Amino acid sequence: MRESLLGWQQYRYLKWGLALLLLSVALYLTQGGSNAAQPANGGTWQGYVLGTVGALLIVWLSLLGVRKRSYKSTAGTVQGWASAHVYLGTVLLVVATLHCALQFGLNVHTLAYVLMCLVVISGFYGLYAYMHLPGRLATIQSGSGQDGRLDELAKIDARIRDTSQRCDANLQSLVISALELTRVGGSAWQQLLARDRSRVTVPGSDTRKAQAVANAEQEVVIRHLAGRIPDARKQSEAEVLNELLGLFGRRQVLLHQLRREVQLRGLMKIWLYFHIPLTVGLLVALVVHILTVFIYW
Amino acid sequence: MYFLVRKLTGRASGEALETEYQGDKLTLGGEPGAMLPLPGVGGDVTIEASGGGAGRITARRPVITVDGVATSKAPLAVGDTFELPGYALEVITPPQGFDLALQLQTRGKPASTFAGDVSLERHTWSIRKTSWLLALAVLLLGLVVPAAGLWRGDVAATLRSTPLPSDNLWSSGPLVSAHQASGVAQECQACHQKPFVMVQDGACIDCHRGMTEHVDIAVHDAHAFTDVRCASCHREHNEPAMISRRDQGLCVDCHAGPGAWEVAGKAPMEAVTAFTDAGHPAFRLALLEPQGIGAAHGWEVRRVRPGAEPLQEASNLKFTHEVHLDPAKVQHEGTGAALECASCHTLKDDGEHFEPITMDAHCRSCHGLSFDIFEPELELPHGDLRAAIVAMEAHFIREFTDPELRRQRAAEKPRRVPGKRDSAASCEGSGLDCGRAEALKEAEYQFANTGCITCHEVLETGLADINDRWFVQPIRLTGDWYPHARFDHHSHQSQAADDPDQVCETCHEASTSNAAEDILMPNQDNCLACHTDDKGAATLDCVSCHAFHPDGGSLSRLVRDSALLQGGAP
Repeated sequence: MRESLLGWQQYRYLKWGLALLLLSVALYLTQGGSNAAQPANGGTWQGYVLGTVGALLIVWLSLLGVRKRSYKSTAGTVQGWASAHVYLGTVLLVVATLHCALQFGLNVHTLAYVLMCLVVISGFYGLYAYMHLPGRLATIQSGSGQDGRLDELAKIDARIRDTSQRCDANLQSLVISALELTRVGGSAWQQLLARDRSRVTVPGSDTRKAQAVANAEQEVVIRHLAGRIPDARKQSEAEVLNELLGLFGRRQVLLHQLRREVQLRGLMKIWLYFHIPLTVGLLVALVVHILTVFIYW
Repeated sequence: MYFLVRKLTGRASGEALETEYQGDKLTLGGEPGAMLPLPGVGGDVTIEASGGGAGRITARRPVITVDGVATSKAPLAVGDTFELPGYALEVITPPQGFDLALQLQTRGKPASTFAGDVSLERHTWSIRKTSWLLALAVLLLGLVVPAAGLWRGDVAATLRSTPLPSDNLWSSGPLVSAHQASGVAQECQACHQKPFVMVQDGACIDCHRGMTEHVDIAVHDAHAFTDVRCASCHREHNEPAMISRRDQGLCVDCHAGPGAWEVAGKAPMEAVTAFTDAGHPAFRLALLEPQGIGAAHGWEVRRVRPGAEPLQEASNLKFTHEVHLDPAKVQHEGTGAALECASCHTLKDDGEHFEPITMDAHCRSCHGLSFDIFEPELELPHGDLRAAIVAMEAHFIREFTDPELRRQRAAEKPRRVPGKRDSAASCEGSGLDCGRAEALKEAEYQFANTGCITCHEVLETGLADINDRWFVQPIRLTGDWYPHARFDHHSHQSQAADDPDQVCETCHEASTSNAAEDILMPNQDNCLACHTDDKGAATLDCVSCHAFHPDGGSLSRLVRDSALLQGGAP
């Protein structure tokens, strides 16, 4: 799947892209020089051709979003479209740059160019995400999906709550606070960073007050439970502690996997929150660019 | 108040955990501070006891389901059952000392506390909304707001003078510095007067009032220029900023065809394809020629290309550059130094043409017109034959009628001056006759031997009257040899040479010219040696030498607006 996106049909669209690139550069080079009516820019006939090709490319590249959703369409496979999308989108960067002949200013034309660059760059990231992240995600998932993991986590939490009822008040409050102060995900930024912000309230004693401390990877609560086992005075107490330790051990693994999974899923998706709105902005900027050029012809 | 919650673990039949709570109310739910933590339940659920095991449940959202109906509040009595998301609850009879008791059982899949925090959807902007916003922002700021100025000049001015987006955002590149002027630079509509219509010539001519057409439309067919807009050649908003086309196509597109622009009765124009030996016709000299004997009908310019016919200038001047540039023969009057080109030829401000050569400024210091050896400082007036004769007659009549002067002159032994005539030592007759006779002799000498005739062609008419006996041919030197070309002497003087005259001589071979008839103008080969098409940076484009808007062209503001160029009959 990953190879076939770029290497689809023996790199058909890489070849198309390269051909388009060479043609564009050749066309660009016929402009300017001492014997041209004007320097290279978007207003020469070559500039108009490059601009038209660029505009058509932008419109066609945007249509991938439509093609993806029209399952009945027989206009090529979605995979073929995606392969062409990647290569032609990359060539668009060159075509548009040649069209404007590297002339920039504070105007709607450069706005369209900048939006186009942002769309393509976010697309590059998207390509990277599609190429590399699914493999990493697969190694984590190992059979159970996110919903399964959440269910298991909820069950474990419920069991921990129940089991903790059989402990003394200090331990119970520690365990319950570990559950309540566990953090997974959160804001988009927190999901992407995947930093474990979980905390646990360590019960106070005669000498110090109760305080919440960082409980990354459930380490504090696990260390605390493990530390209590040798001190257990009754067999039943040791059993409860053992059971809790086992549950928190599993919880630790689940939370770690969940965080990493949330992060990878986020990294695979986040670029679309830029790529698509910027594409729509680009389409409008493209229309504005073309219109204004001819309003003030 | 005391609450009891009995939680069924579901592991063994009836195994339950009982928890006591104390407070004025019991809070339940997924919120961190809830007394009874129920992960997955939102809405701040609260239960208050009213005594006898009854009470009231309230929530901020309808999360409570009673008999299958969602609600946000309900009365509770012993035996009542209700549901919260993921949990089934029943009000049971409270044991002694408790105000209200609940039995709790998890239902279905237990919800996770952070189920909502593990996907991006709820924590990012909506793709759809952002797309709309961005699209609208671009449309408004880039098009709609600036376009408001298209219909109202005052709106456009307001937009431009404030940080609001104006049509300046539509500019596709910088203007040339000449157009960076107030009234043009920011005011797009100074040139772009109608939306979706190319810049019209009227917009240019509004300011450029003196601009002329390429031709005189009284001579040439104006219709040939109907399709030529100012902007056909003058393109703005380029980078680097340039305003005029400089490519060969500018001229060659029209002039490549021989005789394309023929005017009845005139030789057809020759084709031009490039500035090369083959691509450009030989330079055509403008020869000034006298019309009629003694230029009685004035002077006319004859345009002639160098060919088989040897060309000569017909200025009527007698002059040799060779002698004047020979330091052994001619020196500067004051310093004794050799003459140089600049001694006589002073470049005009245009850098192309030279100030006229005049007798007074350039010749008289050596070629004085003194005519009496006794009074060598006395000179004849120049340029007026009649005045010269009157001056001679008046002088000699005075000399022969003044006895004192006469005696004085007779006593002095006249000095022999080379090139000067010995005046008569004595004369028998009246002072008037003697003076006239002496004047005639001097005139003969001046006109026929050594004075005027040095530089002028003098015609001996054979008439007796002293005033009619000689005719001095008028002199006209050509001031502009190539009137349809321009040239900058300044830039060419930078050629490497120790002596400025050497630079002049590279094109004008004056030091070997022995006659005023020699035409010392360089021909095309001379220019092509440095400026032919393949010479890189030194290559010349057409407008380097030829003006598209010549002085003789019709005034554009009269022509461009007239019916002539709008398709009307000429």
